[in-house]
Amino acid sequence: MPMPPPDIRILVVDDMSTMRRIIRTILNQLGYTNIEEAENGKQALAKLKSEKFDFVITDWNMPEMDGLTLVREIRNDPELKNLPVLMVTAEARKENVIEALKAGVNNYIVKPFTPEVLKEKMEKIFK
Amino acid sequence: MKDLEDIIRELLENVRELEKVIENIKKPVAESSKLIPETRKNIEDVVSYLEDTSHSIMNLLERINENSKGIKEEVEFLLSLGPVKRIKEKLESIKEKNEQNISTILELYTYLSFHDLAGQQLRTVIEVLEKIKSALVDVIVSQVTAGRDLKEEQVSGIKGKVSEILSKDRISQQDVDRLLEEFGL
Repeated sequence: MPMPPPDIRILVVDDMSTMRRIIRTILNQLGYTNIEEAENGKQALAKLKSEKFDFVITDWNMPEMDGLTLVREIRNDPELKNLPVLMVTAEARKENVIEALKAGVNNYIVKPFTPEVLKEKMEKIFK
Repeated sequence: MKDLEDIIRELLENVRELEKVIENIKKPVAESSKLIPETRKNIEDVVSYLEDTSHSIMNLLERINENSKGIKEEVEFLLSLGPVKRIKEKLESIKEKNEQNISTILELYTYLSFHDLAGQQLRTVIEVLEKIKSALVDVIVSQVTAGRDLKEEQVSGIKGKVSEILSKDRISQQDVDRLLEEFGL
């Protein structure tokens, strides 16, 4: 399955700086270098409204605005509603996955994850 | 005269009862106001320490990764020179092992997300502590206000005061006494 082109612009949203760094490193390893970061949903939404992004990777539990609310905001915005969103979270219960899918995420990864899993999910989203 | 004696006896009994209430309240307020914020602070320190340590490990891994990339380039350069068979085989073997190291480094990197998972669990503990604090405030306030004719705003004021004291890093005896004074004890 083909991966999305390497020049896509990715927004990584997580309140933990270590997680942002881990995701950025894995993306770099997969060949993606055009990466921006946000610390919570609120900050992410402001970036998404002012800059162009092709893909969002977001955590669920964050202060100010959580990932689920961010996804809902994205889906309710006519300009952003088609933006692919991948949720990367420690929330591993079945009802969490269902809730996230209902909110409009394109795919879901449970932490901790391997680079292969991220690659596989990105392939699925962009196929 | 007998009536007066009865009244005084009754008053003395009431004072003794109040003294018991004061002693009962002083201890949990003093202990909890010290323990809850201290525990919270300790947990927050652990989360912060985990984050700092994870970054330090990542810095080291990045350094190893950079070296591995350098080795890869140098081996590829040596291979491009067309070495004799035995040296070529050795270089191919170094290249393969180096690539395995690069992917192991990445794997180690991803395992560092344990810190994020641990942090989330610890934050749940902090939330539970906050709930315990709130329950404790209710218990203390209900003990103080039991049988006393207080207005709703007075009860809410007492609740606020107890809560404020329980949020402090430490509580002094003065704080406890001031609080008890406000309760009229």
